[in-house]
Amino acid sequence: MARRSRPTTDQSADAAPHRIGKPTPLIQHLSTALAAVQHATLAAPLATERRFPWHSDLRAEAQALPEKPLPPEVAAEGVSRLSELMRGIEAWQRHPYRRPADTAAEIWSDGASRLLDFGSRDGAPVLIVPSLINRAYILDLLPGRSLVEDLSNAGYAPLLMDWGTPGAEERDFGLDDYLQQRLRPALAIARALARGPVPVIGYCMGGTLATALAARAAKDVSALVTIGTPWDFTHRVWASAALTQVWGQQQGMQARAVLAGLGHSFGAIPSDVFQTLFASLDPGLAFRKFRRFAKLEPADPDAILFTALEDWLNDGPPVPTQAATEILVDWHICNDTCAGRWEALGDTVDPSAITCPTLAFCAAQDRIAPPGSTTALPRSIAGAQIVRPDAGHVGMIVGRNRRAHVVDPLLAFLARVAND
Amino acid sequence: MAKADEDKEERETPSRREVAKRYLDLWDRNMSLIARHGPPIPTDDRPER
Repeated sequence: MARRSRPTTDQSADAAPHRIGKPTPLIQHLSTALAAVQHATLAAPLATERRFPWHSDLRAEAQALPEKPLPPEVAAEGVSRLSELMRGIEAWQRHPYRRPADTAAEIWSDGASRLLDFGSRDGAPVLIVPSLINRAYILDLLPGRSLVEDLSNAGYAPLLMDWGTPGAEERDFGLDDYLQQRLRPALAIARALARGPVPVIGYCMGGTLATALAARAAKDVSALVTIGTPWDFTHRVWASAALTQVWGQQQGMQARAVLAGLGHSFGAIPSDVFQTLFASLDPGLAFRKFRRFAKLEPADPDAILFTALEDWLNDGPPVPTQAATEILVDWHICNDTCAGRWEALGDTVDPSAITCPTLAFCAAQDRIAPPGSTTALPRSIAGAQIVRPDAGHVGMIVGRNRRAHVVDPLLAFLARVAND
Repeated sequence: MAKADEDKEERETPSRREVAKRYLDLWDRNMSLIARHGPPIPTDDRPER
């Protein structure tokens, strides 16, 4: 009997395995998009009325619509957009881009963490500290979109801390364990290579950890650079503030209990928890960006950048329960950093004790670490410079204007520090 | 007459669809602004007594 090939209805048959079931949280992205279309359709007949809850920036534009949008037309256009969203997601899942293996030399490791050397032997070492909740390779995403490449091309030896995926050794780690057992040794190696104190660059919450180094290990740090580094967590976008109000009762007791439960079930806090929180900061973002992606040719440089970035966003490691609780509750809800209660490396972290030259990039469009949060840190450090790129949190690192808005001011600052 | 109605319908459909597109774009920007700044303050348009 002839064997017949089985008909397949599996749309993801040729998808990259690491993209199946993603982008995370897929169900939230899809249900938010569907709900947006449903609600917009129902509300369409009221769109041009004064009582319609348009944000004040949009009211005039809405009232200037040439006629009332008709629900059948809105539904038809909405369905067409939902199809575009699905096409965009499937195009990303099938995109041929794969991140090549790291070629940087590993010069130290402990547990899951590694210190990667991206520079030439005679370059001046610079220690780079990424966030704990996303992978370090955002700082080396693609050729031409790589902060470590920029530093290396400028003659530095960028030493990138790669936290890796926490294993048995990091299972019970809090932030101070990461500082004492991972960053302190990495800084000592950088100092030994430099034969003196070194600049430390921190991205996102990596900058908050770098601030602890600059405050508590001052003799080893020649300069501090923070990029999108949150400090005063009372400055939040509304969606984040609303969540904090729900979870923040009694010093975040409920949030602590939920995180303890998740940690007990999964062994650590899954990246999905952080991705879900990030998705709430701009609920329509996935709908927008995957529809845009659906219109790009796979070989378009913008499509490759999108794919590489989306892969990174969906590749977050789990975070040890203790460290995640400190980030989400002690920092985000209780604002321990700005309130002077955050203890690390043996004492409270007081930015006013930092005496090294400091540069802070505080992006105007940053929703993850809004400008009010990021500028609070340099404002506490005497003589600190603030640069305000017109970009978002990730756009500062890989966006179109990264060179003018971030890389050039950073290199100029490092050169000044080296010459002082 | 029927032909005229059909022509009229054809002429009007793209424009209605265009309104729907602009409305959905506004809806998306509204969601984004609300997530960032919070819900808008309601405007009461009831006529004064």
